[in-house]
Amino acid sequence: MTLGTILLYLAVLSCFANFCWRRYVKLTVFFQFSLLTIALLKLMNAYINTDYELINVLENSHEFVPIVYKIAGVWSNHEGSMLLLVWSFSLITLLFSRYSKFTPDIRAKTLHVQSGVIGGLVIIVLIASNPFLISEELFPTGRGLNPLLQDIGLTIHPPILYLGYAATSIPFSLTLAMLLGASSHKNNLAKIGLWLLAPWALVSAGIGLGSWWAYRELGWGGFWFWDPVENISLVVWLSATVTLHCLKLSKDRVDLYKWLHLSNIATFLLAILAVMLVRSGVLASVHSFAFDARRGQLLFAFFLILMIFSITIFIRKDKEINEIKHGHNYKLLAAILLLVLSYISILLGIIYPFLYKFLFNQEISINETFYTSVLSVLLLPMLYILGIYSAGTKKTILMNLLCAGIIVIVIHCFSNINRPLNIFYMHAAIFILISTLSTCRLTLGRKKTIMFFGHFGFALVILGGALYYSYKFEQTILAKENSLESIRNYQIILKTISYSNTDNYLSRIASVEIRKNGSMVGVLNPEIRFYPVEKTFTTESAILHTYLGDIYLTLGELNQNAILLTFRFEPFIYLIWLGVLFIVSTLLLYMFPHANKIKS
Amino acid sequence: MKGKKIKRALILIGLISSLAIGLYIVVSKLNQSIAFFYTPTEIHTLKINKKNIKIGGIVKPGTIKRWYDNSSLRMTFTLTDCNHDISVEYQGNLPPLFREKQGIVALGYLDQNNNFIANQLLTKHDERYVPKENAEGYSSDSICNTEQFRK
Repeated sequence: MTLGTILLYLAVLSCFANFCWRRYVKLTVFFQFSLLTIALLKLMNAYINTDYELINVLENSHEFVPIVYKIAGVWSNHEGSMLLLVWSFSLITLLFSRYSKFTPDIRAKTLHVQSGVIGGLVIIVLIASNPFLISEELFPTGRGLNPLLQDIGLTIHPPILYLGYAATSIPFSLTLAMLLGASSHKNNLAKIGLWLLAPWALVSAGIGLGSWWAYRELGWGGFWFWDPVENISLVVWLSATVTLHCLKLSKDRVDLYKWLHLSNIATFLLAILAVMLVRSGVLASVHSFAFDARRGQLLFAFFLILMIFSITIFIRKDKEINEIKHGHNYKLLAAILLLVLSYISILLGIIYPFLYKFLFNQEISINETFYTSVLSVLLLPMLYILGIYSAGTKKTILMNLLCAGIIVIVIHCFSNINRPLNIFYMHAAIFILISTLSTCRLTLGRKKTIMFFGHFGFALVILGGALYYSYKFEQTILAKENSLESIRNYQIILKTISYSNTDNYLSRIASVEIRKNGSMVGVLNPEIRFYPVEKTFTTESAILHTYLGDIYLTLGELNQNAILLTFRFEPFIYLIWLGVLFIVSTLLLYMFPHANKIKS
Repeated sequence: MKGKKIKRALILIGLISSLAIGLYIVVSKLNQSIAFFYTPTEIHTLKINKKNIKIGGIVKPGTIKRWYDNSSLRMTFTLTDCNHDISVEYQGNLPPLFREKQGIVALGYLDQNNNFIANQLLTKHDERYVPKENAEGYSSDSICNTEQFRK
């Protein structure tokens, strides 16, 4: 048994200890974290030194891989990423035990549930995905790291997304603790804010980074492909969004706190489902690894146990609250309902192929038209509700709707918007932007500022998406050296094709001059790389940022004296990244309220 | 008190019925957006006349033809699972790294002459979505790495 495996066994023990010695709850949480941290560092060390004794390193790394990607290699595979996930859980738990302000009773109960979850996950890691297994034969060299994953996006996207998924466990445990505990809900609701905001902001950051990675690395040019793996993370995000709004709902009307509890439970279960779907190889994509049915079954069993456990507590321990009810917040209720319906439909789209295969034994997949059409029905009303809510009075609502309409007409006159749906999306997004901006003051309280940032960022993402789908265009050409090709008002001149090699890969690089209406815009160097160790090709797109959007070039195959070049124009895609930044900054605003105070 | 109860019941009925209608719309939409997956052999044997299908196979070497038609690049090539071939017509942008002997999935429909008209091509290595069907339909390159392709 290796040291790593022993550390994992000790971590399981410390999780049990958490139940046994109630007085030392915080201490055992600290032990869990330290043990898992040492285990993770141990694995990282093995990767950095490319220690081929471990099967995990042998299969996923190579001595020629750059050092950054050696470290990132830890979470490029099933075993390592599961360890990282467990570590994220223990980190979040430690932070909770140190910085939360709940009563000792609630905190202890929450930490018990957390320890149970972590213990369960470590057991799963030990049974089905232990990264510390030693290979029986000695091989001279490793199999290398999937070149698509050799990108800065991979180094940061999984840890952040995992932290987000792990952070959804805190509201879940808190909910169970509140249901089992005795203290009043009102007190708890006042302290829960950060622990609901953190998973939401972290999952947003994780999805944003993943999308940015796909944009740059896959050579497809888009930011969202309606791939099941992406969709499931969106489901978790939507559910976390619902949770945040349920908090507001239950603060207004304490008797509606049940919705908050239910939403907390749902978010965490969906996060576990996401891990299961993505990491067990049931869904095929770059995210999944060699398919092993046992891993999926174990995670699914874990999911079922958690579900039955939490739902039972929710039903049995549900307390009646007899407080005076006052007025419904219909806008909020409607928004929550629409959000829930959106994620249920996306979830249906993800699960349907499995059901179909099970029932009719026929492989199918769901086209993206399903998602776009269903979401447009649900999303558009939601956007308008948000705009109306942000604007406040009837007069400003009408004024803002009119202003947004005028802006959209101006945009439409300037350059034709191709689809009516996009016009509505744009109108709704601009409406929200104007409404939030018009109510924005420097003296806003912390909560309002956070709400402003969240809604503003969300509207920016929608606006960016609508503009992107309205104005994007792409064309593939067969380019010859030094001949001029025109695509709309762009001129493309292929200057040279050159070759180079590094330790890690060989590459073919084209030097392409881009002109717009005759005047020089810039020179782009798209690239095709061949990774000899992994025997795969990757395209490295070349991107030029302009005010109107990105110019995006990818290289294709060589055809005698000509080369295939794909030219894409990605209008206003930066608005999407900017929107995500706004959304993520809500967490910083919450954590460092002093910055707000200075402003006001 | 009675009025309140009736009101509550009405709200509940309204909610449930609107949910049911919504769900019905979603599921029917789901059925419309299904894409069925076939291999070239299945297309030859099953006589399929569905609109939205996916076929998976390997691009047969030496069959890629390209020409310009109204300044847009069009192409035809043959997709094979080593038992049967199917000719694919495509107009539009190629996925990066589309090449001979590449395992790909084409999305589109069959015309009267049993030619496949593709709207979208997905390649196996560079694209994030590596359909599992593809791996199951023929165990990736192993079958096609036989003599037929060495020639």
